[in-house]
Amino acid sequence: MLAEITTLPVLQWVLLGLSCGAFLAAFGWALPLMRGNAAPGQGAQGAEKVAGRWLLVRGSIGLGVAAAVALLAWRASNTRALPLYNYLDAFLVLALLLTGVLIYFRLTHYLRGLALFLLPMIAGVLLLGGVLAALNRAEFHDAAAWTLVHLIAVLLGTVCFAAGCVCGAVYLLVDRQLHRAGLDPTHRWSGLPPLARMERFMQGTTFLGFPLLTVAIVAGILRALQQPALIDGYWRSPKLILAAAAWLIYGLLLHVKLTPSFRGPRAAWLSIIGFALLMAVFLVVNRMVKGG
Amino acid sequence: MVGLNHRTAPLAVREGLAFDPQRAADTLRGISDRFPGTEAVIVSTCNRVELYIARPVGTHPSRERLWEVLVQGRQLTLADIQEHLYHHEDRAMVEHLFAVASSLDSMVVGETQILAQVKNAYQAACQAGTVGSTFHALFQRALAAAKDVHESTQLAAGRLSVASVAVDLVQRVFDEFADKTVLCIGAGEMVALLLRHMQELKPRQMVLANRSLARAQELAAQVGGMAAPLEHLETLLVDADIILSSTGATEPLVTAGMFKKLLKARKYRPAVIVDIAVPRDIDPEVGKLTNVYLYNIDDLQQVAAVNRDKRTDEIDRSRELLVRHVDEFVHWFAARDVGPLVKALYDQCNAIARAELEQVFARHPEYDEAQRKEWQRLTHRLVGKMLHAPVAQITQQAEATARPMLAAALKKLFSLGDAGPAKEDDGMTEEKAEGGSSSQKPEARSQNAEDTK
Repeated sequence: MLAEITTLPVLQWVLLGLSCGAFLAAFGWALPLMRGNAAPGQGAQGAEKVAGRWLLVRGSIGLGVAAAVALLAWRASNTRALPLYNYLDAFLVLALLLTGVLIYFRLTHYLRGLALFLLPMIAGVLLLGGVLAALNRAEFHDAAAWTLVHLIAVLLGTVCFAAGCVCGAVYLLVDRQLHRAGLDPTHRWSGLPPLARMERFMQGTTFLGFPLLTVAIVAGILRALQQPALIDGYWRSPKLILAAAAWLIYGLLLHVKLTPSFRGPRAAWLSIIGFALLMAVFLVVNRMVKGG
Repeated sequence: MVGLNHRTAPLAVREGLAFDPQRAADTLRGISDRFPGTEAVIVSTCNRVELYIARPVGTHPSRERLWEVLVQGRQLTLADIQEHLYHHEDRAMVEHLFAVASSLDSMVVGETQILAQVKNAYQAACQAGTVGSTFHALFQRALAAAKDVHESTQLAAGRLSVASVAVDLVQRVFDEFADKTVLCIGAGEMVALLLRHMQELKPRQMVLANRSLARAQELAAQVGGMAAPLEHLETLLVDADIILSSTGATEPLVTAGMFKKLLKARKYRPAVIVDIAVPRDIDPEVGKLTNVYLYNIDDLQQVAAVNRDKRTDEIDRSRELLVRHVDEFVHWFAARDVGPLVKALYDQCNAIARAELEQVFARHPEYDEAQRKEWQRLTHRLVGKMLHAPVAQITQQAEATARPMLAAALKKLFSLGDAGPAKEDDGMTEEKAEGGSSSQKPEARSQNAEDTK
């Protein structure tokens, strides 16, 4: 059904690099703004400098989005299929969805401080997409309904868990700051939500992402059961094991009220580890098992 | 403007001159009745009493009259306050007001209360009817400048007192307090101050535990909390989310082992513990437990000191920002008078030229259209060239504060009558600080010259 894309044209690599670089640059420019020291002691010129820096950040994000959309559109015009059946396209979609989450954060008063921390995540997703493309991952030759359900659930679940992972990282940052209050004034990183708010947000992303992950795993298993040739060794495949491990971690997070010892920093670490496991699943998939 | 503040006058003098809202309104109306055409605003806070006046150039009230207004009906006399008073005019007045509104002149630089106080004073004067276009523009620009300073700098960031730093830290952990319990161990002055700050967060419950139950009950009654004996401390720690401690105990009341046992009963909920006792009431190892944030007096004082230094660094930056706002206001104010006057001057001269031309044409009906146009061009050029030098002087005057004086002189010398800013009772809507010139403006001027007696 779909042509196998084994290598990328140079210009697609350029677009990918441009998009990734733009998001990283945006983060670099945003960092002094987040730390509240973009223009110390520079008076009115300082205020203009801050405004200029924000313009750079927004422009950079815009450039990153434009490059990603252009690359996606180009590839979609070649494949004429949903951008889920190969890794690079799926990761481009993931990066764009995460940019949407970033905009949502900026528009939501109590989450505003988290927004710019998504930038390195988005750049990382694009980079991982590039790595997988460089490793010459073939597309999935599977148009079955369960596969489509699996892929969509994975994508949406990953967006939720990515947001939770970023929140977890910021939680740990603030937690560390608060334990060093005497040395590091807590107002320095402006706009970060209180810990309790971030904890609730992590639980919220888990609440949304866990059912999606469950659907993804179940849909994957059901599809595998439809392909008897693949079943042999499937239950021991690294992909399934890693996915199950991630599922258990998020299950634990979801039931933190029942396991309160996993509150606070531990919940933050779990959200980071869970997301790392999911990323590992992407790396492992098709490395050991063909076609799915 | 005339006034005194915490730097120039002791509390007793400031108290003696303070204006309550009714007195301020009566005084403002009295000024308006006695000195028509004068705009007035009174800013009276615990740290300053200031009377701002805008009046036409060369008219009353003078500075001495304003002093009399301040002491009218008071037990203090002019002799009591004279040495404490300061006086600013023109640009200096604008700079002072902007600095006051931005809290740069406050006892605690960066405090945000003064902005609301200046705004209230301005609104009270509006209600009293003593604010015209000059003070509408001036005070609105002052409030905008203060807002710009607060938003563009870290002047107002960070708390300066130990108690407010503690509240700040609590708010970094918790965002909602309606379901939180504050436990206060001890009932001394410092912990009572902490408690009062925490009260602003409106927690669900405040519990005071003290060796002396009577003292705990007394303090609890003041803050709307409940008292408990210190013997119930472990039980109280289970429910507490925010713990404040300051007792005279020589050994820690709460050890790491004790608190660790309580973590499960607390369901590992986060706890913020503020221990300002010396020696400490809470074992420092408690702060290493998961989800427990422990701060002692040194931590709080260090944060307060850093915040204080940061504010000091921001003062210069804030002053630079204010200079831009002051410049913009002063240039706008100077320009708004000049435009209509120059227009009126040209109109007057052109009208004279037209009248003379009509007489010439009446005497010489033989002139054709071309010759009439030539005469008209001649008179137009003559008027333009004759007025160019004085108008250039006044519009390009480098010292903007001299423009109002030159404008007043121009008006008088050429008998320009009602030209210039419209009178206050013309029913015009108030102009905003950035508003351009208008053909009708109030005549009020900022206080510009000493009266001669």
